Amino acid sequence: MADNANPTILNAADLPTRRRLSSHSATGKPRSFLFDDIVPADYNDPFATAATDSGLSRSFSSSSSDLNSDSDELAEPIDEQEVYDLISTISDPEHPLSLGSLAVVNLPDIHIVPAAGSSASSRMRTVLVEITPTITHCSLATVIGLGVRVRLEQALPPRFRVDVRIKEGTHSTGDQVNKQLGDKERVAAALENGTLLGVLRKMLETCQ
Amino acid sequence: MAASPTAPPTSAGTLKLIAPLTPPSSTRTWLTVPHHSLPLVATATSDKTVRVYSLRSFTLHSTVSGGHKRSVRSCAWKPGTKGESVLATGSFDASAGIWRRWDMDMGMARERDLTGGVDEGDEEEDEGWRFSVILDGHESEIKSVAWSASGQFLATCSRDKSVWIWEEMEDDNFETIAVLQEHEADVKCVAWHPEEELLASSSYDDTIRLYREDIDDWTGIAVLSGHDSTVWSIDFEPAKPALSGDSQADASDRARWIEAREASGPRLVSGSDDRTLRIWRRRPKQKQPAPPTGQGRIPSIIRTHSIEEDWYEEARLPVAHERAIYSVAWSKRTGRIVSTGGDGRIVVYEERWSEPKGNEEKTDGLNPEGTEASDLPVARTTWSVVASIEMAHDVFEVNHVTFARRFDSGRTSDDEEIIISTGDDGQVKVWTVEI
Amino acid sequence: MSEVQLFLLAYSKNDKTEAREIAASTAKRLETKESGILNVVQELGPYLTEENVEIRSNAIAYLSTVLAALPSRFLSRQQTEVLATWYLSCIKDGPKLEYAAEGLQELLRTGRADDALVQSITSRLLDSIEDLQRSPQSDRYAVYVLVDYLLAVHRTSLVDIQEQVIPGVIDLVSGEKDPRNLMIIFSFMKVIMVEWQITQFAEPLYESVFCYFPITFRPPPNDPYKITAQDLKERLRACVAATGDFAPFAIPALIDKLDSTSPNVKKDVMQTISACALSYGSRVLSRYSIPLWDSLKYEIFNVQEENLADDALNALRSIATGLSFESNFGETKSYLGQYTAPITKECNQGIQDPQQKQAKAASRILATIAAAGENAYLMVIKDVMPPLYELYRTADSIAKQRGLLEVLVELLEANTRVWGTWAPQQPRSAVYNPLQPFKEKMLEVFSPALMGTSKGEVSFRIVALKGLLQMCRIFGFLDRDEIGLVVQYLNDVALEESTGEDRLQKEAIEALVQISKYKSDPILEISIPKFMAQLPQSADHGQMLTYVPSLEILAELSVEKTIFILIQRRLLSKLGDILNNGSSSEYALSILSTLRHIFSRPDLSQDLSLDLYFRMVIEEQTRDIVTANKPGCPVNARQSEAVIDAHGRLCNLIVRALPENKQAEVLNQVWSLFTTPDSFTPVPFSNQRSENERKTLVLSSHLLSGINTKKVKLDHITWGIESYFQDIVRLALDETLPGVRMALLRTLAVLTNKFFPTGAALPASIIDGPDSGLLPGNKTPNASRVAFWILKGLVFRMDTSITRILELLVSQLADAEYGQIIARGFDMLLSQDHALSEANHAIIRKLHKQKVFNVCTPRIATGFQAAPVSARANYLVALAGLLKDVPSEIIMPELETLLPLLLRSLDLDDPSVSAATLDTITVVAVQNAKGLEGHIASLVGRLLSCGEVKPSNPSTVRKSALRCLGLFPTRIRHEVLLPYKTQVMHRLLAMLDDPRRDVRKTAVDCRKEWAGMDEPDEDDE
Repeated sequence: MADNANPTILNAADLPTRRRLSSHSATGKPRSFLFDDIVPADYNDPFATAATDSGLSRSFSSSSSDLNSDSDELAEPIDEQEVYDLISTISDPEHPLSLGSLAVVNLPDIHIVPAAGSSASSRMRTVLVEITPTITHCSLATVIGLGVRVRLEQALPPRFRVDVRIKEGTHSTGDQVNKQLGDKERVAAALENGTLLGVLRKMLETCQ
Repeated sequence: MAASPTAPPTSAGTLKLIAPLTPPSSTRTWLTVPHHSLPLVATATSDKTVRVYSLRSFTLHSTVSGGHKRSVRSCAWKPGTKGESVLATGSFDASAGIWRRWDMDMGMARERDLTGGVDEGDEEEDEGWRFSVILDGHESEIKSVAWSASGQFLATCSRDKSVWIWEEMEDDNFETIAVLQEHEADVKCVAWHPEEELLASSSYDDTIRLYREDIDDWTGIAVLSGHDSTVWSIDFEPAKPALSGDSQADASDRARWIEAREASGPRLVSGSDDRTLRIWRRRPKQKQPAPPTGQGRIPSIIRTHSIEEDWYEEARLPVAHERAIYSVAWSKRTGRIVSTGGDGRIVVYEERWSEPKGNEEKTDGLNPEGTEASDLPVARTTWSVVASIEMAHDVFEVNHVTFARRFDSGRTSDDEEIIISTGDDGQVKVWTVEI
Repeated sequence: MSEVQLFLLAYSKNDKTEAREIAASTAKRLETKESGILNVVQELGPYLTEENVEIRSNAIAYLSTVLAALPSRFLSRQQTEVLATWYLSCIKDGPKLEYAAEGLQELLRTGRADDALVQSITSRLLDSIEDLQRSPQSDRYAVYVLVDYLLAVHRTSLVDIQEQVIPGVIDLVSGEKDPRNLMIIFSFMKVIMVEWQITQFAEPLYESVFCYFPITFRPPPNDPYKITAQDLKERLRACVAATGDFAPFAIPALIDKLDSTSPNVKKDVMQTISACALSYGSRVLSRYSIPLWDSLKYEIFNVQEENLADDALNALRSIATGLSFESNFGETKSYLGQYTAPITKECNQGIQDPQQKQAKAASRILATIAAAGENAYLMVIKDVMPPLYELYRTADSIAKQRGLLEVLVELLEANTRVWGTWAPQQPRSAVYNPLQPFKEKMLEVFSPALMGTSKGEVSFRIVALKGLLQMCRIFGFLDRDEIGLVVQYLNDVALEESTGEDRLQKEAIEALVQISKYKSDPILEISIPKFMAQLPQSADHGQMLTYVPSLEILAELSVEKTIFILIQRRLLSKLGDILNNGSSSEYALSILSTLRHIFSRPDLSQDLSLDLYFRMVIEEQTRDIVTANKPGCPVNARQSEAVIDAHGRLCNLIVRALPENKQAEVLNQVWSLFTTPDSFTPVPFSNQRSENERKTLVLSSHLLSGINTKKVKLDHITWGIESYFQDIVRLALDETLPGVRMALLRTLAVLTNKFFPTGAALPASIIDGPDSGLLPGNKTPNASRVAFWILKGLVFRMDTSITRILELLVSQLADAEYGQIIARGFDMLLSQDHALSEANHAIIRKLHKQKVFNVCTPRIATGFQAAPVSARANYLVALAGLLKDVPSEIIMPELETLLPLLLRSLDLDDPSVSAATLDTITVVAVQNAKGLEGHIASLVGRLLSCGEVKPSNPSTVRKSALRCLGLFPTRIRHEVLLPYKTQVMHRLLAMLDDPRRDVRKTAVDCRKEWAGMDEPDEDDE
């Protein structure tokens, strides 16, 4: 019988995410559909650039064409919200619902810290994700934890060390689960085990 | 208790990269073992193959493939082979494989300049590896394989909590002579005593166990607990202690220490997920002289004493790792120890005579309970970090380190030693230690 | 030879048509009474005793074909009886059952058979066939066709012997497996089940069809009969649901099959339950309604697959509808009441804690049942509403309250499905709406929930808003004032300062638009004045936040005609005021953009006040702009290029909707711009005009491009097209202001496209004419700009001169220095431009892109090989620019030759070329990935390098490269891709660390797709 047939469901629209662009763009100017087709005159004048800087490789005039706007290389560091967006749409193995809407993963339970002992300039990071099973004796906690760890190991750059733990006091056998989730070799082996891989793939299918 | 996270102790020396072995694998590599005589190393790779590189040219010599359906986690050269190299492989597909290859181009007898002779590209070389036999029996992933010093026995261990010992009868016929179910969880590593038929295994259950053959039946003889988490890797000390005795302290103290050391036999080093490295030592039996070194067997009818042995944690190496320690190796030549792990750091330690007794309180050894004061050798030794390097494999974790003899043209002396590291980036790198 | 022999010969040669002609000639002889049917049979005699079975069966076929050729009721009853007996003997032990059955059917048609004869034939037929399943499929099929014919045509005569016919037919068909045969069996069995009183045969009849349930038929590949599993399922379902007599057997069987683990079977079971519920009749159905509820509810409360829940809900609604057909007088609770009682009770429990998964299921069930009909709705409402209020009143958290309101909204929505909405031609029940008594209470709940809650509770307030909207939509539910009150709420919410998230504001505006569709008065009288009042008298630069939100609302509100008219009138007058009181150009631009947004209505050309717009916008405001730009005028917003351009585009929208006479007027004023000669002299043919004056050319360009030259006669234009064309070229060559230059270039393109007869020499000669030719003489960018825009006008209408010019241009690519400018030109040659759009009545020949493609690509391909290395890049730039606007079906056939070039253009490290090339390759990957299979090796490598962070790879190129790579695993055979999997997975690691978040996300998705490809020898233990 399903472990928890009647979990509490959060309203997807309330979950914190960047996927929905808010209407006010960073530059304060209201990003309104009214100005969608207001384009500077020489926008699609391909000659404009060839003439002015024929020497350089073709770069569009300073017009706001997004191909080469100066804000292009503005680095956006990987933060907790991005990690949350990567894992909140993983589906629960038991329900057609996401870990986000079941509050199994929550933004405040994700912590990114510089790797312990590494020098300040080092780009090494450790990301700790604490997951909250829907009920304390949930037998699927390990699979859910594994799903989160595999998703992050496949989606985050290698300089991130991924630690997935059951949140303190939310699961009867939390320590054992944490030890399994921390064992890199068992996680690697699990990824080569056909049946478990099938379950994981189904969970990760819903990731947008 | 888990060591507190600190920056690595300032050590004078560092590791200098001689060269990476090319071409690297494009998937995670688990471990690399040097051949006992030839300038070759075998790297177990997660793309289900073993990559054999030449230590002379640092290039791929051959690839052992087609035998396993999943990642190859471990491999080991059969010691003492002549004319034909024998490689044992252990894989996540729960099977171990035995591979053979004629050493026609690498024969030690013909000591000619091998770099010319070794023709990596030669296709025919690659089929050299013959898949001779598969050892099925384990129920889940095999984590480690190791040959006994004599090459008579092969030990394998797996997540199914068991350690198997195989004996090679005549060619290609292996017999299971022991299935040891002592551990309570996934067995991570097996290592043989450098001389005796003594096997050690370490596990996810945080313990190390030792086994001997007692009247043609292998049995557990000791349980070494103390680690707070999974013990990933263990290695025995070389047979003869290589302690340098250059400091002025009184010579006789050291002689007595060395003599006590020989009485208790080679020590064992273990690296664990609790970020500590510990040295384990056998407490010699009072009445019974140390059992002969393995050749003769005590006739069972008159044997009175039990085969149990008592090992204690003699010392802990300085804490130098921020995350799990995946691999530790004890150098057969210099007696140094090297360790690596999840923090991407490689650290080398050396044992030195500590200052004369008295003003030197025990820095890191535990006073093992139950040992009488007189029992302790008067002279003391301390372990210190002599060299370390950060991000040895860029941002990737380092899975394995080991010592090996240097063969390439840059070597300075006949038995110069190098360190070989294997990482998640698929790279295998060769280092020298510069103090 | 006798006709029989001829027929047999033809038949043996399988020449059916010739055989039919022979039989027809025999039939002719019968009709003319030359010979009798009986002696035809005699003639057949010897052939019937032939030992060769084929001749015997063909002989029967001869008679059947003859009968088929005879008119109906031609044979006498006596002859019919004789032949029937003959045919029945053939069926019993004849060689070919198929021909005999067909013959008997033809006999019944051509002969005269009264009830008695039909009954005897049928009963003898059924007795004579012991085990039909032993004969081949075609024979069985013919027999079924015969039975189907009997039941269709002679059913009335067979009804008396139905006790014999029914079991006979059941035996006949039992054990049949062939789908074609089953299709016909199911149809005639249904006839029996529906038409006849079959109660005493209910079980055997039910068994005879239900044994096939559930259908798991998988049609063979390229099956000639095209029978699908769905066809079979529907026919079987019709049988099972045919009569209430089957209920005792069907319902229990269906309930226990509902536990099947296969979703397809579950779906079939539930759809069959729905069919039965609608046809078994209320009395029979009511005996099973509760057990059905108990089994179906599991599928909704523990939903595993969304669509299964929908099927279960559908079944529940069908049961409710089925139960409300008949009412049971006398009994205390109606059939429907007995059914809804346990449902509402359990669902009321479900919604106790509204945030749980069960609550969502419970509210869906209640809404579904309620929508089944008037009394179903009444039953649900009277059980659910009281406890719902109690729960709401005592709910201890906003989240709980939101869950309860969501139940209410679903019930309101169900109400619209029964009592309809204000929209015309809606299904509306005349019965009194049971929601009326709850109206006040609902308003008292929804209004404070929307207006009284803290701003942060966005989701909660949205639910409340939806509730109020539903109440407004229900036909005749709220009166004028109540709707007006809701509209006021919506106005306030729409204007609220959004806290970074504008979902609530969008919902409010959407609600206002919906209400305006049927109740426009409150919007006209309350909303529009309110929003207009928000617009400040004037606004300086940078104060956009004070007016843009209101303008956005007005723009979205302007859907209904009456609302559009009021808004445009108010905005136009506002525009006039702010331009005159010196507001910022930004403000004017915003209003102009809003006007342009609401004027782009498809029905503008039928608008009665077009003349008004002509006068106010095209004439007056244009004139104001021209006068504001005369030399010596003080700086004002009308001098801003953006405002002029925005006004021009607004005029363009109106011009192209004007009738011919008005368009002709505009055409003549295009240069003078409705000014008097003394106040303004047109710019053409004059020089040293001020920048501001030259800006008026932007207006001329927009006005000109809106003219429909198919309707407006060009002959009474007051200005000479050719002379003006040449002067525009002159102006364009030395114009420096980009905005004005672009207007002049568009003017040239519009002139060549619409104002020159095809083949007119002038435009082409200007490009490559011997004397004044721009090419190859004048190598300046301006010259090539003018040349290409003139060419664009010609290309769109596929003028005969374009081939020559295109060849010239491609050959110019080899010129190391000049070729680079020419190459850029191809980028805009086929691209869309509002001036040359269909809406602006441009002459666009369908095949013009194909033509340019056919002329240019072969020459580019060969030119590339021959060109010196320094000029090769020009060919790739030209190709990439061209292909991005060419539809994929034109590119695909040439893929083999073009792909190598496209791949090399990725090595140019030129951002715009990479972008264009990646777009083209992505289109190929989406529509015809097979074409890429031969080039995977070089494609994968290049896409990965385009994904790396380097100066020549802006983030859009990196993202587009990774997106393209991510398409491969789902579109290209895995065995082709697997050799590259490890390399891709490894190199993508670096892209996971791209500085841009959107590129990283694309890399993550791409890597997930490639990781998903299994290794070929992946075996699971």
